[in-house]
Amino acid sequence: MQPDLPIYNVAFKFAFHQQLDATHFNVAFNKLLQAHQSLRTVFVEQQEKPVQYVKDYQPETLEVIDIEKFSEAEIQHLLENRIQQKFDLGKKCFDSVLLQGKDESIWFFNIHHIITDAWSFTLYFNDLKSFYFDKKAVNKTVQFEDYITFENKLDNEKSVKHWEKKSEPSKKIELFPLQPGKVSTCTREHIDLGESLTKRLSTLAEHQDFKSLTKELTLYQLFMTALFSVVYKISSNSELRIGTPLHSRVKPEFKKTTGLFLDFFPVNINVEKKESFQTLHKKVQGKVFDLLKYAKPGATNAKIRSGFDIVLNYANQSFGTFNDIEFHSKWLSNGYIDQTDQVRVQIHDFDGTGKFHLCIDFNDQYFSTKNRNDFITYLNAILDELTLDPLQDLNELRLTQNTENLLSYSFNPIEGNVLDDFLHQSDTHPDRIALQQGGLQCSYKELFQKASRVAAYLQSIGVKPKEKIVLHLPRSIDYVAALFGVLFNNNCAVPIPISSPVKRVEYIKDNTNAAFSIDSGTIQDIRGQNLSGFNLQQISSNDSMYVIYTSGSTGKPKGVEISHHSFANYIFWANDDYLNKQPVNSPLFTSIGFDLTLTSLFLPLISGGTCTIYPEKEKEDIVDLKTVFNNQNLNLIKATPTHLQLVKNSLLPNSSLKVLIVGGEPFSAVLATEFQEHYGQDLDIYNEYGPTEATVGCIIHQFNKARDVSSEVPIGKPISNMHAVLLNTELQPVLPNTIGEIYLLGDGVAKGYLENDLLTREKFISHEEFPNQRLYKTGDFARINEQGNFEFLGRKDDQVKLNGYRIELGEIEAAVAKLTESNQTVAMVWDNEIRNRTDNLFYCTSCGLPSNYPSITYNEDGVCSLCQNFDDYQAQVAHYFRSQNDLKELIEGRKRSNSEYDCMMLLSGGKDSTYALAKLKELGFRVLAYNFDNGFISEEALDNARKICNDLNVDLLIDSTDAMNEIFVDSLQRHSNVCNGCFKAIYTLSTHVALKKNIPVIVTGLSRGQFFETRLSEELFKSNTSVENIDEIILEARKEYHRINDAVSEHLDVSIFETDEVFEQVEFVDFYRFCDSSLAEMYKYLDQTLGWKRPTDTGRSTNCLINQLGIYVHKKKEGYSNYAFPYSWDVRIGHKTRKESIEEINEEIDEEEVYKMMDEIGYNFDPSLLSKGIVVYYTGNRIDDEKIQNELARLLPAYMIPNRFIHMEEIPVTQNGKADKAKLPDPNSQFYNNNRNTYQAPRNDIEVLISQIWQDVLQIKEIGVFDSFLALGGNSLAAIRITSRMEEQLGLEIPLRELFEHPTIAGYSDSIAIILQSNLD
Amino acid sequence: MIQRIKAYILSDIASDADLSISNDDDLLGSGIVDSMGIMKLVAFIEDEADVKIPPGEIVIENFINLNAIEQYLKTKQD
Repeated sequence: MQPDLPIYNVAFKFAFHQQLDATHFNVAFNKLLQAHQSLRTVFVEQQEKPVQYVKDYQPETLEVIDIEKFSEAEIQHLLENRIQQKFDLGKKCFDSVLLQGKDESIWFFNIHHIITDAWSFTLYFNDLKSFYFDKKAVNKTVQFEDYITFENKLDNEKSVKHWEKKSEPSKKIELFPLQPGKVSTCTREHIDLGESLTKRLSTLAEHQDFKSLTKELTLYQLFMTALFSVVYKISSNSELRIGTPLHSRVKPEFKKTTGLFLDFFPVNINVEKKESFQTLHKKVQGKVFDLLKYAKPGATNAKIRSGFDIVLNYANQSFGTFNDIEFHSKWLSNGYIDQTDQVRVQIHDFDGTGKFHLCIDFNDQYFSTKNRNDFITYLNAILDELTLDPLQDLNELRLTQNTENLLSYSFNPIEGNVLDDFLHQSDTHPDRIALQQGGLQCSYKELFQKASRVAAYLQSIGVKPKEKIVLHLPRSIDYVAALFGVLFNNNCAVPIPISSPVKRVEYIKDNTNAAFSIDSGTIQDIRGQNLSGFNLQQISSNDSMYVIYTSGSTGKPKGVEISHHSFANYIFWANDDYLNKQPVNSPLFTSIGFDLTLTSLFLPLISGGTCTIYPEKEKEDIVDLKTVFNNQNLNLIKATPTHLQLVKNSLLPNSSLKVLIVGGEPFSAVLATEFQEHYGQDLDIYNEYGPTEATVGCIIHQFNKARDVSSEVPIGKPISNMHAVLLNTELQPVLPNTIGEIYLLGDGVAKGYLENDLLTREKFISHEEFPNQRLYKTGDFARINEQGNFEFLGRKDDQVKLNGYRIELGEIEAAVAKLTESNQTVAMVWDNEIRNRTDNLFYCTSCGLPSNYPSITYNEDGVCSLCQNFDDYQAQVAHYFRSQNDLKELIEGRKRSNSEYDCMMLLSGGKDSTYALAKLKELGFRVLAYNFDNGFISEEALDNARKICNDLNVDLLIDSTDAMNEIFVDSLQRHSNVCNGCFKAIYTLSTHVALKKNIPVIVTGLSRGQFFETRLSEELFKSNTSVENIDEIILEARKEYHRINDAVSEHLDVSIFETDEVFEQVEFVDFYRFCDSSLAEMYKYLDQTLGWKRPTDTGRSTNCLINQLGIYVHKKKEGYSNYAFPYSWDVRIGHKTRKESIEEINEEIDEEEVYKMMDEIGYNFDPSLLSKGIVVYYTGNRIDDEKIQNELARLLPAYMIPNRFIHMEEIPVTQNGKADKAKLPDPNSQFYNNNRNTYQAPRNDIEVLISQIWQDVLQIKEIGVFDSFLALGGNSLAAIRITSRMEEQLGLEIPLRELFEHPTIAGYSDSIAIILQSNLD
Repeated sequence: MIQRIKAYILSDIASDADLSISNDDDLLGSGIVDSMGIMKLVAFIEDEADVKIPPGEIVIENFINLNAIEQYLKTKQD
């Protein structure tokens, strides 16, 4: 519902052809209010739920406006304003006015849909009529209340089941493309079906093959058949669904009841091959019978309603007469439509004229004026055809002349081949520079000579014309010479880039059955040989010129074989069109195995220009684009959008550049505009579309900033001697302005796939419309826009499914690109169940660590790697621990005589802290017990604390903060648990207390296992750091820990930590560093000496209820319990048994309780979003995820809205200059945390090293160099581990604070570089 | 059976609950039952008589009046 829009206002105007008596009318209107509860129904909110009730009748005076002096326009304006009125449903749900003219009256009645439907209007009108003419008339309407009672008792189980099955999601039926714009507005078009058509429909309705139970029903079915046909013809979808409303006044007594009785139900139809109107109508009939059978009140629901967005509303009731006063009615449009509906076709004859009136609401987001006109034209045409020839095949039906035009084409084949033109250039100006490569130049004459030697060589070794020759060479003068040599001998060239994997090269050599392969060795060989002349071989137009391999869906590359004629057709056209036959100077910098490259190579050489060669850099195929684009000698560059993206920030002015050809990928208008603006209007930018199978480029468009308003630059119109048609799956041409698959025909169409007849036959087809032509089936989808230009809409492969919905990735990409002004977006569907195994887990035979713990390994004895490593430094760990005496000395030493207490014990009420408190007391200290109530502490635990303190005669302070919800949420986001945030709140608040009460020592009850979770790491012990040093490092880490910006620093007072003073005044001491009691000993002591009871009200081993929320989230997000690690340490250190640890890790979680608590703290978590969804990678402006989602909701259906957005510095690129999807980061790795930054992979060795260490320590994949260590959940322990590892790797001393001062990989790397440098100096 | 059908029409689908219907009254043409009602009736008959009525047999001839319905049901049950 969109309460701020008047979408649900239903308004009629009744224009009477004489003036009515306003007083009588007012009385009648009041009687109407009295008679109909519906008009007195209001909705008030009670406990946040709207409750409906009926007000008592109160007389009111109907507003009367004198319109005698009003113009038509003024009246219209007045009514339009009133339609837009928003109702306060708590007060009144309708608006009415009587307009009194000289010889007319207009009654306007506007009612909120919540209390009415069209049927009700006829009832109101008729009752009003009785009241107006007969003052004694009484109304005995059955009221809506009674209906509700009836509905509640109704058994509709069977119906509910029926519709449930029909509500499976289906593919969105696209009539016309969604255009971003005003949401929810619609334009209403009125169409009167003429007398002749109405008559023909009536006749058809009587026909035996169409006739149904009643004439009304037949007509309804006929209109539905017509609408299905239109939708089918426009969308080319065969699985169709439209929705239709039915009023559910099933019982006789409700026929006179006003109110909202409307329910929407779907009708599904599958259009088959050889479907005629008649067979379709039969299907519709069956479906409509079902519809009526099962359309019971309450059988539909919002989910069913959301399953269709094309609606047919057939209303057969009429208003009848107003005694002898003539009138006409009009259903007024409120200008709005449900945002998700594309079109609503309403057919009615309210005035009972016998002619049908169509009133169609077109959603403005889908229907431009042209689209509306097209739709109406098609609907009219379908109704015509249906009534004239109902047996005709729908697929063969041609709806417009336009379609015929599309099919007409004329070809005017060119003559000659590219070699002729090259030879002509080389004859005409032999000394011109043909090729340039760095400092090397090669004139036309020299190129001719070099090529001749290659040809002579080939002839000398017996290579016959037409045989295939592999060219496996770097981009170089030699390559071009070899290529021409191959062509001189009329061989077919198979260029393979030098960077191709060996296996691919082998496959291609084998697949082409190449007679010979020219590589660098061959070139050397030719140089050393004394070769005589050669015979220039005659070329006929059908001889193959080259074979280029493209990736195939089977994983095997496919060799596309192109004839001389095809290539000449393209290159001659390009020569004429791009620079009007002027000499072309262009760069050869893209892969030689990419057919797009052929333009840059051949255009200069047939036009007398110069080709500047940029060799591959090492193994990479992509050269320094900056140099290419800033070369002031070039007048034409051909590149991919990705290339433009990479170079756009490094462009210098370049006045020589006249033509920029872009191809290979969808080309965003934003990017095109940037280049146009940079180079100015003198630069012609072309978008060139063409699969290798149709020779380089065959549909072309010159970019026009002003005219090209779509988010992507159109691909334009076919080049000469090429033709493109859009066909549906039945190979029938689609209607103008609708989507179809591109089929290409003409001189550029390839000979086929080498050694793959099966695939050739599948992709190169014949079609009866195009005799003697082969059509290449591209798998690309397009639409022809209003200017007659093809608009590329994506690959067939891009159409993927998610949750049963077909997802149009291209549409998502375009929408995101538009919002973020991103030049490059990649949308993908991902589905990777996170490791969340609880079955078949293996537990370390020594410590019980489960096998779902990240990167854990076990040896043959089943001992985990943590335990194995521990063996190496166990001795060092032992040094860290102390005796009870040491503790006594420590606290004694810090005793302050002016303080009431010697120390403060952090008492949770659990076993560890209780035991510690008792022991401190035993040691004779004056202890203050500090208990923190985070809002979820078990009552029994609190009672325990109170009882123990009472028994031990210890003062107890129970602290709390109202910021815990925020702290929990922040902790869940950063660390996937609640404990980290809670601990930090405790440390912060207890330090405040200690300062205030002048207490020198705070004692924690952390278990030894928890030390390893929060303070200690194996790095500290492995590197032989002294215990003093370890303490220093931990203290440093503690300082940084308190200075991190997070929810604690935001909500609690952390100013005390700004200077180091507080760390001197208050010392934190871990009790269990000084105590080595086993669990059994502790329980015995607690039980026998203290009478401590384990809390039972949490049902768990902990005394904190929210703890299980943390564990649940951690298990879902990270795939393992956050207790697995600390418990394993408890076992390792001997404070817990393996069995106890495993039991506690696997304690059951009460999900219901968990979600209740999530609600309570305001944490939103949907684990299903972790495993699959749609991810979008984008550049451009970074926008908050939630904001993008909200914006996209206006542009895309809900099932197409991505749930992951990853902002990228740049999108990785393949050798061919296209987006490299394999290199995009994992959607989940970025999602664990809302605070991830624009993704940028590590850029240098130090960054790579840092990123590896971070990923290992933080257990997060694909950390971008701009991500913050802190935002990723990095804590002081992680900082210690990272610093230690960095020190070990680099052999440097690195201060711990560097990491906190430079918390990104990029920043940390720079600071490390400075340290490295200063060490060298 | 016919009595049950008649009762159902009167209680659940007739345009006016106070009607009386005889066995040869045109149910559809006279407006006693509308299109939606007749399909409710079909569903009712399917349940009551435990028969399946295919779309092809939902024609006016079979449902024009109670006699026709009775006749039709006989053919179904044979």
